[in-house]
Amino acid sequence: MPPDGSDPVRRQRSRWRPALLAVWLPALVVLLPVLVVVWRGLQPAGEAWPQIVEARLGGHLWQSLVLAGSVTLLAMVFGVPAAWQVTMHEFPGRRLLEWALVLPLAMPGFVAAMAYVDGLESLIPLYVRVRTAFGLEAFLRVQQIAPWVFAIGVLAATLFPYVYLSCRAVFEREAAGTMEAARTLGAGPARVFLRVAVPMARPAIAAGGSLVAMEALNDYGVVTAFGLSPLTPGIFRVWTEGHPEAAMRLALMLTALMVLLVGLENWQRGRRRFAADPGDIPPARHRLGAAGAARAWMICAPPLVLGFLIPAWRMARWAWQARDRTDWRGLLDAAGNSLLLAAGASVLISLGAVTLVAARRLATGPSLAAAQRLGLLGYALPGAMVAVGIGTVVSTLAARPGFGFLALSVSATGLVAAYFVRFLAVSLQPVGAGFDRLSAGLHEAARTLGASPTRALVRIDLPLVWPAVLAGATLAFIDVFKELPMTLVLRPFDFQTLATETYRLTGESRIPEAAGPGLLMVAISLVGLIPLSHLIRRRLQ
Amino acid sequence: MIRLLVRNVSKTHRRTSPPAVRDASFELEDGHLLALVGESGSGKTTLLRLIAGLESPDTGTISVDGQTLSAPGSVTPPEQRGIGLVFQHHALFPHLTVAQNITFGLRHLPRIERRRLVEPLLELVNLPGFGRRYPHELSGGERQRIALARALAPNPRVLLLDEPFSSLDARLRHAIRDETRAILKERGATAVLVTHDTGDALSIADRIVVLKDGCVQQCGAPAEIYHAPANAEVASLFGICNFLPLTSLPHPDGARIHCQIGPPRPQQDPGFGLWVRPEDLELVRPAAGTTLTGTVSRVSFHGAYLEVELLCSQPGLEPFPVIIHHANSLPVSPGETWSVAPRPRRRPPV
Amino acid sequence: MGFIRSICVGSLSVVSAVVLVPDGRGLASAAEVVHVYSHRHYGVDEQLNTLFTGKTGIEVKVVNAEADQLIERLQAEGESSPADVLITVDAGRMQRARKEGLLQPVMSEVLTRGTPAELQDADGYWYAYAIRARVLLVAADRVKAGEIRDYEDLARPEWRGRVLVRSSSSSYNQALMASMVSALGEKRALAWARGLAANLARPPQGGDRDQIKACAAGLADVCLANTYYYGLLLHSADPAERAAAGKMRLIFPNQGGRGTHVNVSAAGVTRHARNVANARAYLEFLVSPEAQKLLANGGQEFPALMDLTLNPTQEKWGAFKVDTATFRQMGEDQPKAVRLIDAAGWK
Repeated sequence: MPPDGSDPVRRQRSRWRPALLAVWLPALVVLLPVLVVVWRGLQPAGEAWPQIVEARLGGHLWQSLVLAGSVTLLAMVFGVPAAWQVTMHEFPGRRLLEWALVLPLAMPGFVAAMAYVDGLESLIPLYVRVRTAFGLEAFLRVQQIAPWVFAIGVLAATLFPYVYLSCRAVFEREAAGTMEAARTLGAGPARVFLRVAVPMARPAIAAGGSLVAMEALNDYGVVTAFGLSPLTPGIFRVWTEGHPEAAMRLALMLTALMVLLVGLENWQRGRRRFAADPGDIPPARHRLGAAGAARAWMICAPPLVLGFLIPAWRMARWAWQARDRTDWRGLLDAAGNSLLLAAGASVLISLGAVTLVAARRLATGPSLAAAQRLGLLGYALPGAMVAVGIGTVVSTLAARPGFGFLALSVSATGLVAAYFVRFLAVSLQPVGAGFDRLSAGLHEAARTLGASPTRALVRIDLPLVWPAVLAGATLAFIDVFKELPMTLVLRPFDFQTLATETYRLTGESRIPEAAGPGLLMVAISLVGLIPLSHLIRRRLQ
Repeated sequence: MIRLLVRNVSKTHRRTSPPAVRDASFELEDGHLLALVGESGSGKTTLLRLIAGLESPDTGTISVDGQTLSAPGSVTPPEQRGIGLVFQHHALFPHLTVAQNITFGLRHLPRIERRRLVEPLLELVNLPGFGRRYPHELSGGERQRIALARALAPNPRVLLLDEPFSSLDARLRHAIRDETRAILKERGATAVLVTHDTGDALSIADRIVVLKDGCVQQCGAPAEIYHAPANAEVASLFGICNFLPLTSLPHPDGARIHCQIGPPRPQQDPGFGLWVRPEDLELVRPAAGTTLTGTVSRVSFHGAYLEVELLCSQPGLEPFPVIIHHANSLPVSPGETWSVAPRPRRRPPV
Repeated sequence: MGFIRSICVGSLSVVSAVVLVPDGRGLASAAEVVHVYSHRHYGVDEQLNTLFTGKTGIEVKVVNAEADQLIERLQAEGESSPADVLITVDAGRMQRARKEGLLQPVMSEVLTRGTPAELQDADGYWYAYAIRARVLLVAADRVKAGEIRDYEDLARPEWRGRVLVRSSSSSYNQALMASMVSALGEKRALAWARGLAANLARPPQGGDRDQIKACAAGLADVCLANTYYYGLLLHSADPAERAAAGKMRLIFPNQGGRGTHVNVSAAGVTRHARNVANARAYLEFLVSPEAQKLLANGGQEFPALMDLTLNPTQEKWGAFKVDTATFRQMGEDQPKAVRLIDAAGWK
């Protein structure tokens, strides 16, 4: 198509400006709460701050550290040996376990916590026995420790699949040659596991572990259910007590912890890059005898039972028992709200991700790579920080005359924005990978055939990366669907989602009634999760 | 009439790396086929992408039919240039059928007309009836031909081909190569072909531009490039070229040496040294009047000829190898002593 | 270009779809309607509203949230607020709402006579319509009569490891602490909170009901809870919960002194109410004998005028002295109370 008489060159230059802005927009939205929190957090925080530092800060910090540390460790203990058994050995039920071990990802921590909160209660006779047998001090000590045991157990049992998946990927990819070589050199299975497998999987363990630690630091529902107060609930408490600056300072500390974590993971990964051949040969699984199979089950089953089967089973029973008391309309409303929010947010997130990634096809420039990196940042931002930052932005906007409709209490704008910031990375990763796999030549071919950048994108790139976009949208959908703390703080009044409904009923000790919405959440997450488990695995690599 | 004019074009990708294209200039006449030849990294693909408008030049201009399409900072986007491109790996759209691929660039035409154009194009590339297939159902050669048909469909003012034959196996590539030339000639297309294979370039191009390290080394007709290379690099790029440290190589029959490097460099003794292609030499029995004699160190069979490496010695010089394509029936074996003489041959018209 | 535009249009429509949904419900205007912003969200409230609509034909539209958020929203909305009535579960928040100028006075004989004078605003800005007392519940088999009488006793060393209470983030505990501050002064209140925190059998977790059940199971001997939670357990559909409640004995604290700390559910008409008449009718309905009986039996709260004959369970508990002395002060002492709770290490 020969250009018409006008000078196309000049036209082209000016037309990139708005596009570039549009491309930067998603990244700017992600950056916004960070800037707000940093800026406001550096301002004087009033008399509340010294008091918070004195009375709470220490407790919040060490609770966060202990929690993240022990949850990560336990998740590794659950995840690594299970991944090993399932990839290296052949035993009855292996295939079932292989995918079932992913199931706990569909069980949000605060939903699983519900199934164990009353466990604290049923242990009371045991505590009473401790008191009679060992005295008051021992009893009080046990009381201090018990909620920790439960909180750490629940978090680890629901989060370990991150470690499991990343390790399984490594074992599958690299196991065959290396492991067999080690065994021919006379190392027994235990020695191979400890001396070869674990060190080799270390980057994967670190990747999965850092995700687990992040989720643990971000957790709100589980820790509050068991009465712990690490940083995340601490931030929300200070925020609702009306000390935004103090809340932002705490949020900055949490962010610093996260950044430290990401840095640690990168550092540990950077020191060693394992470039084993991507084995075309699937690992020859070692067939186990009866005793070995039993041991494999003993290793793989407990996390699955703790993280999924027990909570699911108990909830199913409660939901059945409470079927007459259940407020079905409220439940339906909440489910509708959840679906609508998650759908709306994931559509927006996908648009944002596609815009950011597709920008590299539409225009070039170092700023675009920076924009994409910024978009990925959201996942390392603590939910509490995003909530506080976005909450402030929206409240400030809503305070202007004529913008009242934006107010947090009235609209879901702030909530959707927070989801966007927090979960953009979730979709950005698969979409980015999809575009990376796609040869740029296809886009250029379309351009030389007379297609405008937009048409090339719509006709060629998008149809081809569509599966990746869809996968990213589904991942974001599930994450939004399960999200609790930001939803609690930023949702409009009188607006329940399945997550907040579960949390509210649990908080009111109406556990049988809370089982309904909880179960519904798990069921819907499962539908999306099963076909996506391989994608999560990719996200971990 | 000059169709494509590239003038003083330079391009540096990253500030730290050396320029990919340096002050490149050449022109291409209407209906001609030009080959851009060079080793990988010589900047030929960059030059192609600059012509296509996929990249913008740092300096210089690119114009087609007298209309400037690329100048520093202002580049007509590829879709408005009317320049077609056949990609190295064909870049067929995998989710579209062959027919949809071919009509992709014909959006300005009504649907019926678009459909009418498909079959003739398929016939042109000898793949009639392939319209409903998907790219993954095609063989390598078929894909190449469809890619060509797709690029030709919008009647581009200039067609660019980026290593179009490199992904084909040797047997196929000759056939496809000749076929491609035939197709291009039939359509009267003006085309630029990028290749690292000098054989491709010599056999199908009307003109050749040789690139090295981003600089144009020589620009000319194939025979000119082959027989009168501008410098040693060009000479050796197009096949083995012997350097003989002699002022002349006489033959009993008085034949001449054909391959000579163009204007001698000033700092060098103009009379010193000859560049000779192996097929311009022949082995003769050592006798009076032969100036270059040596021992056969290697013989390998190439079908039409024997490639013989002769380790020659000259007084005051290290022994140096001379390669001769020996095409007559005299048996040669390693260890024997032979002399070298220019082969009497008729020079093709340049 | 078109792509960018379609992105913008698409995002906007998605956002507006998400944004407008919750809004569409609250603002729908009906012929006769009263909009209620309420901190209460119990089953009995729905029954009350149904009853009110049945009697008057006025539809009740409720927005639920915590009192602080409701107040904030009223401020943000200003004149455009759809709210006609504000309901909170403590008098302190009502006082704050009045101070912020969010309420208007209602002069009604039904209301002034329907609620005790000390539990209504002197100028008629708000009226209490249900009372909950924060009481001690002791394990009947392990705590002798007279062993514990007052809130202050909870801090005594002999109760170490024997006390249960929910988290200090609960507004019930903050109100109690505020009343302790009013009654004892900051210093002694702080010492009390310290003693209480030191006596806890476990770090605070769960709600009032959980404390009662844990005590019944033997984890501790005494706990703090609101009366209606105890009442609800006594009438629970779950036999295990009824049995647990049966093991407990209720003690109204400080009967020899200032009386038991109570809090109220209170209602007031908002400053910019559009349906003032309906709002007033709703308030008057809340103190009507019918509504009061429903509140007493369905929600196990004390009726506004403490007419214990409405509910046999409450009749059995008997009359008790209400701490009205600290009641008016509580709202002001609330921030101090929160600070002291923190300082005392009460989680």
